[in-house]
Amino acid sequence: MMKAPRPGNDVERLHALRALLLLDTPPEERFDRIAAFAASEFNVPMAMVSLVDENRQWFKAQVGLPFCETERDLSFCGHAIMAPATMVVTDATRDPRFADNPLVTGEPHVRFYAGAPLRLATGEIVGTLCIMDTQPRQMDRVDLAILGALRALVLEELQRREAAT
Amino acid sequence: MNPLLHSPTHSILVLEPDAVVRSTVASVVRELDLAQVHQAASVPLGTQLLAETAVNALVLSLADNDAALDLLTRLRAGEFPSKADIPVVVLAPACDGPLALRLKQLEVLRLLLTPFKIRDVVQTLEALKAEPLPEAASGSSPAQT
Repeated sequence: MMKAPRPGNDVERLHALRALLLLDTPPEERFDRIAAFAASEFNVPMAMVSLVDENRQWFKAQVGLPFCETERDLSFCGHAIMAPATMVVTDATRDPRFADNPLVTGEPHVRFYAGAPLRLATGEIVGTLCIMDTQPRQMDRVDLAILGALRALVLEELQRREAAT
Repeated sequence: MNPLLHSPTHSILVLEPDAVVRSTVASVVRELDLAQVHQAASVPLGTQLLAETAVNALVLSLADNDAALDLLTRLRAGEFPSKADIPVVVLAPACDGPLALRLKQLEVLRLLLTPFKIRDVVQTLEALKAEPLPEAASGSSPAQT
């Protein structure tokens, strides 16, 4: 398994993430609704608004997972925040980065992952809006555009809060 | 590729009160370069926009059923700058026999029932690429109902 890498600007990225004042806050309907909408739109069992903290990924909103955080080293989102483009893993069991990842070999048995990075206006990528399935899948250009549009709604909510605080 | 879809005058109005649905449809249509998009969150706002702007297609929520059908009736009667026969996609929470008949009379291109997928809306709009669309400016006779 390849541990999730650390971007060169991780210190600044973590500073920007913590300045959102969202980590470990209670669920909020405005984020829950987007995660639920994504799960329904793509007909997947799992969807999350994931924030990548120093040593964990923490879910501000999630559908279909029995936990609210995982180790950052194990996280798919830790890989997805390395670049602004949506990261798609069509079949994790065939991807050397993830094939022996405990999230793949055990619960929740992730096979498919697509994560749209949450890049703030200041440039830092603080997390992702992501969907996961227990079956292999593909994403076409319409799917990517829809996930990107939902990602934009999450960013709007993140930065609305940022502006209000 | 239909040049009308890429002309500066081609535009779509998305009239949908649900902000997630409305914003997502609008963003995807823009991302895929299908058309310019106008958005309205209510029938009064949509009516105002239609009174001021000619569009080539309409995505219309029936969340406010009577008002939305009245707006569509006025559109088909040629009361707005848009051509009376532009394609209309209707989004509805449910549809019974009388409503289906009414929508047929109003020459609705496609009815999508909740919970529809954004993908279905987008693919319906994409399919318009294959067909010659009416120009936005009015001047044609109203569609027969």
